[in-house]
Amino acid sequence: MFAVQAHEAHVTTIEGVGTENALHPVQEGFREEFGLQCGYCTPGMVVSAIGLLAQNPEPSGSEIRHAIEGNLCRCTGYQSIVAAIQYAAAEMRMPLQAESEPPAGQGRP
Amino acid sequence: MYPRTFDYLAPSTLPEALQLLSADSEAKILTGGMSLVPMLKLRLMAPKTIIDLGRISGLDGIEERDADVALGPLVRHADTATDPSIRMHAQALGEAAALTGDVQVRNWGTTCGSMAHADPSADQPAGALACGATLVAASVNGTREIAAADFFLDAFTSALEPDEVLIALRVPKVGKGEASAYEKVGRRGGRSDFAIAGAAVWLRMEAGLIADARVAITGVGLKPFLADVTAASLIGTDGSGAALSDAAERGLDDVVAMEDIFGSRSYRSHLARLCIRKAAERAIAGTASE
Repeated sequence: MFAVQAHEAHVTTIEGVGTENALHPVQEGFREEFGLQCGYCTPGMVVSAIGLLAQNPEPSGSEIRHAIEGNLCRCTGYQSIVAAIQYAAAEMRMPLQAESEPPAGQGRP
Repeated sequence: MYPRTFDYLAPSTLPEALQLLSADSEAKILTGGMSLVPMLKLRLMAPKTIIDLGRISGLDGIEERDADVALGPLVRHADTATDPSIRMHAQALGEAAALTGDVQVRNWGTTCGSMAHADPSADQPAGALACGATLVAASVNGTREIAAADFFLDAFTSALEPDEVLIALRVPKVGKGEASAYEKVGRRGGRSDFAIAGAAVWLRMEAGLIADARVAITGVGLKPFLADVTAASLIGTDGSGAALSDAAERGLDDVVAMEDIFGSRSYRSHLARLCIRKAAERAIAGTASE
């Protein structure tokens, strides 16, 4: 898309998703589940995942794959990215009170 | 590669857009740009003028009317894929939209743009053909309706004149016993990339028999087309597995299938037959679930 087409639109990039001290749950999922190695594709993967979870809070594995297939990752083999998004989905579905406790038992076994 | 320089025009009304287009027969219309922009960057085309319809309000609606469902030129693939009226009346088109490109493409590309671009491997033209859609073209001289069956002329060539804009796609609502479905095999083994072969089947069941049918094929020939012999072979049968296989075997033999690194002629024809069978099975199941 041409930049001029976004005139007057609000654009959120990866920089607007979370901060170093307060990661977005999807970013946290990518860290916990090793959803990245070189990091090149990660911003696209993260914003795609956020878009998916906004529409579908409980996606299946195949729904996650369908949602991220516009992004190519040469490092991870994708499985850990799918796990990262499942981690984030579970975390984002948790009731607010649980936020004070660390999300136990959702990382790798 | 950067595109060659061009003037970017963003009119705020459709009449203004038509006026601008009539002034430059080489000008191109921009809606989603998912096909146009890559072609500009590959310098397959170098228009001096790009006319963006994106600032014109009222073009992004899906409207259920008395006899049909009408899609405006700014309706995105993602809208076509999820709209309840499309899901009810034009399943093959909706399913084709859901399998078009990836999520970025579906959020930005438009169904009417896919029609106008007339890629021989695109998904939604097959849905429009099978569902018996009508396309509406406008120019400064007025509007005209073009049946989908008359719209796709050749690879990347539609019946649109250089001064015409596609302003609507109208799909007739399904009647009693009617339903449709779309099946494809995409490149790289995926479902969402361009179709190596795809088939949309629309049919009407009466008293357990197929009373009418349309079969549209994409990815195989030089354009998306109606396989009339295949459809005629379906009519009068009970839609059993044997009847579907028999019909799928007919009608593709005289088609000159494309051949490239994604598939040989015989492989494409084989996949098209599988897609016809699977789409027909699901369309029949769709008529039963009404």
